[in-house]
Amino acid sequence: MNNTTNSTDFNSEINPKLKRVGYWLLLINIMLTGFILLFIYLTYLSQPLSEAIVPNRKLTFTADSNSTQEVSIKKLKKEVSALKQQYQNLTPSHSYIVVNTTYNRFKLYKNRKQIREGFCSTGSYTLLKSHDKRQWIFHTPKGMYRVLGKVTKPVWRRPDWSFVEEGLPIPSVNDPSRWEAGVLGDYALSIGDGYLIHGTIYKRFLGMPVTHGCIRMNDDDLEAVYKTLEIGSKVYIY
Amino acid sequence: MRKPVRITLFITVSLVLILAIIYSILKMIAFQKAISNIENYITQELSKRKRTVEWVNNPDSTIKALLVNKAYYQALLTASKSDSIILAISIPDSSVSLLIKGVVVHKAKAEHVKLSPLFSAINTPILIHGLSMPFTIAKQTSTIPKVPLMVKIAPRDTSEYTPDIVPDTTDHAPVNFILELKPNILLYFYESNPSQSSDGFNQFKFDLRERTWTVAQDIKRMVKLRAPVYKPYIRFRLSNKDAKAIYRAIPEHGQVVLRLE
Repeated sequence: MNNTTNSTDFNSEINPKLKRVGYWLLLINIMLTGFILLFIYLTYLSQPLSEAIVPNRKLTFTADSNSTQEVSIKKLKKEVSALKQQYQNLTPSHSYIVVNTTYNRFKLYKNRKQIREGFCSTGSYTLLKSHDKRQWIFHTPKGMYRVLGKVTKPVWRRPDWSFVEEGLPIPSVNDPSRWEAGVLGDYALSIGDGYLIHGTIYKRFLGMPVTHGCIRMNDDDLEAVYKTLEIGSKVYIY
Repeated sequence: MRKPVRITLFITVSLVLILAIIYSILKMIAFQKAISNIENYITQELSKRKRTVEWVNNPDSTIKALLVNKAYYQALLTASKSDSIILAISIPDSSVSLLIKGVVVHKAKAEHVKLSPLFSAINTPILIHGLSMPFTIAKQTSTIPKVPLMVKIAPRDTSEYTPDIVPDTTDHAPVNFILELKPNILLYFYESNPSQSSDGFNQFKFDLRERTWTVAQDIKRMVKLRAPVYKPYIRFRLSNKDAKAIYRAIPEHGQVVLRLE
């Protein structure tokens, strides 16, 4: 009997509070649901609806009539074929190379046909900061370049960053420690601004972005590139 | 149902409906306005470049195809004068190519292409002539950094020197990006068949963020009593590899050549 009285008291004391909280939760829930539905409508459904009415305005030429002129099919065909020819002529008819720096691949072309493809290594996109506030970014530049020079048995002249990178003191400009033979492979092709296409002793890194900006290749690929590209040949890097 | 619940329900439903209707009407107006905005932009650009406008009345499909081809080659030739890498998009063959000085260096096939219906509403002669000029990229948004820069502090001496860590080439980041061209044309490049479920979720998050941002901008304009903006779009689905190579190659304010038919 006592137990029943106690539980009735408890209900009558708690229920109104709980009810009020539940009530508010219900109201908030209604509003939230409404705004979530509105959000979904605005973000996903309103655009297709706004596109539903597409006016049919095709073939109603509204430009300045003075600039309008009738064109004949014959004239047009001639113009199109001339433009197409002009566009096709932009692709070199002799040898060129395309380098993909994102995936470290190259494709070699001759007579507008791909003759070889393979792995290479390009710039690592490392920003090297020295303690004397100097900095270098090791990236391979993108765009069109030309082969400016070709050498066999190249010797590397170590720039300042190669000493800074290893924590070594920077030697004078003509110091013998700057010259290193054998690290660039058998051939090197210069594309300007100190950037080279050369070989490597780190063949396991081919296909990875690990260089200081130069394009590294394995020995066979480098030989083919060296023999195919001439001075003036175009190098497309993207 | 108690009275306050009914009132809340009524107010919420009314508010949601009113806002949705107002937004939809304004967005429809924005769509119509966008057509004339793009036509005006093209006409202005044509007069700036002193291009003559050629057209034939009621052209047959042969003439139209020739005019489209002419516009496409004109745009490619104009863009190839610049030193930067350009993006050429051809809708008929669903191809997205990177060109340097007119040479195709990378070609990707889009698995899915969706065009805004606005393009079919633009005055055809004006659109074709508009496409004879390359568009300029005004803004880029992406899920990956444009330049994957790593900062390295030089060692003080040889004792601090540690050889470079081999980069993790297995790193797989989902690639989705949006290019906004002048005048307000959006190019969405989303990764097709995300390889992991997290990639699909990342794509959804990226898309939702973009849509939310657009709605927020529209609401801001509406608060200032200005109509929202409709931006025509082209949506592409590309493989992860193609999307990454293309996004990393395109310059910040690069040029885009479009061929729609």
